[in-house]
Amino acid sequence: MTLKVLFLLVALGAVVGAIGMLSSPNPVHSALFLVWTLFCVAAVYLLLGAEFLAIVQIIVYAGAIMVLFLFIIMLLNLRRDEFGDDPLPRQWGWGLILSGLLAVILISVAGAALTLRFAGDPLALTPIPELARMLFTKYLLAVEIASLILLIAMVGVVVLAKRPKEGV
Amino acid sequence: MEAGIPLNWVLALSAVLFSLGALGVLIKRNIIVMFMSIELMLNAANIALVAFSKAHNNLDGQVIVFFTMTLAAAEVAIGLAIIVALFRLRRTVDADKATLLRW
Amino acid sequence: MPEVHGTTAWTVMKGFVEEWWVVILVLVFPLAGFIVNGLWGRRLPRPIVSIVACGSIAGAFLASLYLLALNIALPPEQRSIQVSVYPWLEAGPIKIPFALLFDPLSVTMALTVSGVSFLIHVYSVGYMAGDEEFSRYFALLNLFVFFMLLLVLAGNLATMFIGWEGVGLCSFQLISFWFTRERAAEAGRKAFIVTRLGDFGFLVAVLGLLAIFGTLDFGDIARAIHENELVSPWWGGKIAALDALNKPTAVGLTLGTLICLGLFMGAVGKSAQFPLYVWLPDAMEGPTPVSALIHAATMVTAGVYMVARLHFLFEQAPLALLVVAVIGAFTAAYAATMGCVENDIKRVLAYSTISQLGYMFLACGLGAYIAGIYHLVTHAFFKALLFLCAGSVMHAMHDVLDIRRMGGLAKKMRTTALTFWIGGLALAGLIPSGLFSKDAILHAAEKQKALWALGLFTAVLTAFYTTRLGIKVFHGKPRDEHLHEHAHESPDIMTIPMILLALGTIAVSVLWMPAFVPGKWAILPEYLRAVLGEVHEPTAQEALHSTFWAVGAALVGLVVALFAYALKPGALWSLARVLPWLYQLVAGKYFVDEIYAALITRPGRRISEFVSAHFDLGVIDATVNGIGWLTAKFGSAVRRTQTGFVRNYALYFVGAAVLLLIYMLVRGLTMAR
Repeated sequence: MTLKVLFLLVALGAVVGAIGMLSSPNPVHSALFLVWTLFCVAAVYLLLGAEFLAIVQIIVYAGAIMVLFLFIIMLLNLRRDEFGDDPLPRQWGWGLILSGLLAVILISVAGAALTLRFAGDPLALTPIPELARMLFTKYLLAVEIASLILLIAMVGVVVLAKRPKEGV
Repeated sequence: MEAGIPLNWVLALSAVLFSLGALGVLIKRNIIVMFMSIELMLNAANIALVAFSKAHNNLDGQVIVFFTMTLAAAEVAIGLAIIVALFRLRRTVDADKATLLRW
Repeated sequence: MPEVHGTTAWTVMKGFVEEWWVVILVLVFPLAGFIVNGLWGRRLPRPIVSIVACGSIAGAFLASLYLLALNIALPPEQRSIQVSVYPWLEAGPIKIPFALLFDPLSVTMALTVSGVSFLIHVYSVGYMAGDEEFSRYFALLNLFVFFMLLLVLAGNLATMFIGWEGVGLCSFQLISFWFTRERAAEAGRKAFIVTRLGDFGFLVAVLGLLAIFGTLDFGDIARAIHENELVSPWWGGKIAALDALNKPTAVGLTLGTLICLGLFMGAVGKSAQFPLYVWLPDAMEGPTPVSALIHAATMVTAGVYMVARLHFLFEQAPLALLVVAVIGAFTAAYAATMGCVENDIKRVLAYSTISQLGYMFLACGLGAYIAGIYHLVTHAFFKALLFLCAGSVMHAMHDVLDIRRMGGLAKKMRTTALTFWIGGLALAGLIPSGLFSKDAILHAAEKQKALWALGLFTAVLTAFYTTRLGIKVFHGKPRDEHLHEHAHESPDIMTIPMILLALGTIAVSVLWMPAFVPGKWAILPEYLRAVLGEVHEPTAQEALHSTFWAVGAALVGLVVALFAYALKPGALWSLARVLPWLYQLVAGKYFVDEIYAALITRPGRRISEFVSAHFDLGVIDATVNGIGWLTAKFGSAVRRTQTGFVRNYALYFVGAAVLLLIYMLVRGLTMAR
């Protein structure tokens, strides 16, 4: 029972954070709202017993990725959004309709999962050594590829962010 | 087993967060916030993956979430670099100003 | 029915010679020359182009000589060796390899082709010296030699057909070599289209043979016919080969006769016989060495070679052989009459080529294949020589071709005049080797009095027009002083091949001399016997008799021409005045071109114009344009969706995702029910 209440609170926090991100006109505020949501998601992981992912979520997402976002926002010195007239006035209406439909469909699918229950002890924590063994055996190739992608991304960022030479 | 969190609750949270992310991509004009919305959608998917992983008592789902996070890091780095490059060119982060490629 | 000189038991070893690669080498040399000059010729300096072109042909000639040595070293009955280079067309039971055959006949042909070609290549270096397209010329010439050698060395009809069409292609390219001249381009097209007519018959006959024998190998077909093997023709069952060939058809001729006539149709086109000869005189628009090589010495003889190669087939269709003989004799006389009134130096020679090819077909039709091949070889020498002389004259006269503007050139061009007379007299049948080869044919024709008479008549005319040509060009007073003053002998690189060809003309006579010449001079018949059958060698008495008639006929022509053009110029004009219609008819070339134009070309053109205006524009083009128009309309309608706004694209994306989800949901629900 306690778990359910805790989950509802955390879920509410995540949704509120997401709505706050969408509704705030200042990107810095948006980013901070998103950090809050990500923390809530980490809490959801924790409630599901995936404590390793919860920690990674906080370190990588809230820690690294969002810092990068904030860093860029500050680098570009962005304040409130003032973009002038919206060239796509009907976008709001369509967006709400479509995402509403999306939510309805997905939630109805989720409702179909009613019969499915969590197997085993809901409070049991993920065996981290097991996770590590899988990463370096079954998913070894994927790990290598992921590391390669990170390397490429790093090089790519340097190339993209570098100021082009004059006259080139 | 009624003590645990029902699976469909977690999935509903995932669905709501995903839809909110999609809404953000559709309505926000600030390209950085659009990008944040995409991150939100990724997280929503991750929640679903973890939930199913728990439901099936199978660790594969969590491994995939781990990879998603890794690639999200790479993706954000590249995406933000592109945004910086775009900002240098246009002096704005308004997605509606980058409309050169059209009919 | 013409008498067939002996039957032939021609066997082909499908064995292996250690030096089989030499056969391929003969082909590789000219092909390599073509590739080098064709790809890089424009960038190479001219001396290199010349050396590559001549060297590759010299290589082919030397390889052919080696081939001859190899061939002679074998016992006579084992001299036919087939080399299957690689499997080419294989479909079920039908297996057509890319096969080469070297036997006495193909070796003889390869030697003649490569030898004469080499001299003409050397001559061309001088003749084409000033031409812009030097390398293209030599590339094409090498390609031509390659295809011609492929044609003669082919081991089956399919491989032969490659060479057959290849030489046609090169001929087309070289006739219209100066394609900026309207006449040259037209002549090239004419040659291509007219010979295609014949090739159609050839191809149909080849397919007919394939349908009957299931193979196109010369050796296999020869064996099947000779041993009357059981074959499985397309109409089913098994049947003896000869019965299959004798199967009557709806048109009243036997199948074998039809096939032979189809093959002969190809020969008629390629070897410029009546009625498909019309392209050859026009082919003189090409460079003169090309006329010498292709339209006199080699390519046009392909038809004769093919008939001789397939003689075992023709022998099963006596009617077809008769047609060959009659068409040959008729064409010989017919073309000779036109040669008598023609005033263009090259066209006179072109008509004489048609006429001499007629002789060769006459010989083949009578079963005297060796005589035909012998005349082919000697003709290759002296006709190439005559054309080279004509080229030399043109060189001196600044490309003037009209013999009415020449005269007296002998004083200025001694070598050319001398070699011309050697070639001319050989052509007239007054000196060896033309004397011997023509005698052999006329001797074979003696039993067929009508054909013999036509042959003798042709001999008279041949001597007449040759002498007329020689006198008008080289003797008498110069008729155009200005041209005459600038005339000069050609450079050594041109005259030396001419001298060599003149020597060759005489030397080649040692291959076969009539019986009355002391000693035994029958190298060629001895050598070719294994392929073409025994020769009915005449006795000295008979040989003397036929030579008497042949030389007599030639002398008549010579004397008349001497009288009419050297002693009493203009004497023949009175004849033209007495019989104006005859002169008009002959001078107008029997108006064959005009008749073809009225009967075939113009209606064809009208049909084409109609189709082009209505069907092509109205249906095909309209369809194609319509599709394009529709695409453009559709594109301009849907391009509005490409707004450039990322958020718009995201909207399409999410919308499509939602639709897809709805579809999956509905499907899942219906499936679950």
